[in-house]
Amino acid sequence: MSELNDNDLVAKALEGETEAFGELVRRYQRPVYGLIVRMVRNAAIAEEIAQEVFIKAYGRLESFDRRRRFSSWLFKVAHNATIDHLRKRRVPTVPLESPPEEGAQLADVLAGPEREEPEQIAVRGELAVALERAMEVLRPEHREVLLLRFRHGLSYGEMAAVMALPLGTIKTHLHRARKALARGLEGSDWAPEDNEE
Amino acid sequence: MKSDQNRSLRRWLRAERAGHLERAEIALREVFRRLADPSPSLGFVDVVMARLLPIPPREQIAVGWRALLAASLVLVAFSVAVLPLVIWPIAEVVRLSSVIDFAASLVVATSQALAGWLSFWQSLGEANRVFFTIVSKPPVAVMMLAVAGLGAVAIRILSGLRALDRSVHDV
Repeated sequence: MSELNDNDLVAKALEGETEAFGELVRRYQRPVYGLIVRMVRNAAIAEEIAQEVFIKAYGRLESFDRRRRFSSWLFKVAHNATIDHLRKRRVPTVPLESPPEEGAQLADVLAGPEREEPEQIAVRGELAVALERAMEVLRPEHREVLLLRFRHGLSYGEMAAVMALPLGTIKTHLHRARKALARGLEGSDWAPEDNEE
Repeated sequence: MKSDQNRSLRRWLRAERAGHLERAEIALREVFRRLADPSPSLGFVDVVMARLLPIPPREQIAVGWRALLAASLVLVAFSVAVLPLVIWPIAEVVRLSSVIDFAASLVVATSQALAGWLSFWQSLGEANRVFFTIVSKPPVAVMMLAVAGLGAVAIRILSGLRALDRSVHDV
């Protein structure tokens, strides 16, 4: 199964081979969960929403247009589920700095399972924490455009389809998000020295 | 600054500050690549699959129903086509007069059976009438009521004795 492309797996899943859909879940569990957890800032709720996303995707699989990328379509399902959740329940978000267990749990989740040298882990960890903190204060839609564009490599058109927004709005969001993120990091000690190359 | 490992971040911030959009995009992509890909808890796939199994995809259901409907239509069409071919040879062998004779004999046999049943019910009705005539006479009615009363009293006494017997054993 793992050697098949997304479209073949979708076709097989529609023929009733649930294992094909299992492979799609295995393939996209981390990108989908990563996007959601950074949007809702709560590991347990993010996992619940991610489950719902895959269940909804399975139920609506026949509506997937195979000329598009499966990942974009799945991100659209994830976007809708996350936005619905944020609107309905007013999710209690957990700031990274908070020392209680929940904050530590979220920080652990966002740090990810690393297989690097301890020094690399430490440096990467510092960078990741600084970035996550800078993103934490951004508006959810700004956080989302940054992740879709720079983490998951979506084109402007794909982002517009995922978020159901006009192309111009996506570009505006992205521009503002980048500026806000830069301001957040400039405020910390990550700012480059003026005389630095 | 933290380390050379984080050049990409500094490169992005410099590009952003200088307004080099294209360079900033490339550098920011590099920065985000350094972010970890958080994973859900172990067994996430199994949980999703377990929740999925009772829900077959809609298309699968539709295909199943469509196949069943198509098979039924084919069967009906086949039957309609074949039935006259099966009936025709029988119609040639069996004459109309013999069919009428057979139907008439069926009617006669049925009416005879009905007549037999009617006479049986008639005799039962006669026996019932005789019994009612006897029972409706006053001395017989009084005697029957007395017997019923005695029976009721006997049952009541027996029931009391049984209760007494049970309470003695329980002690």
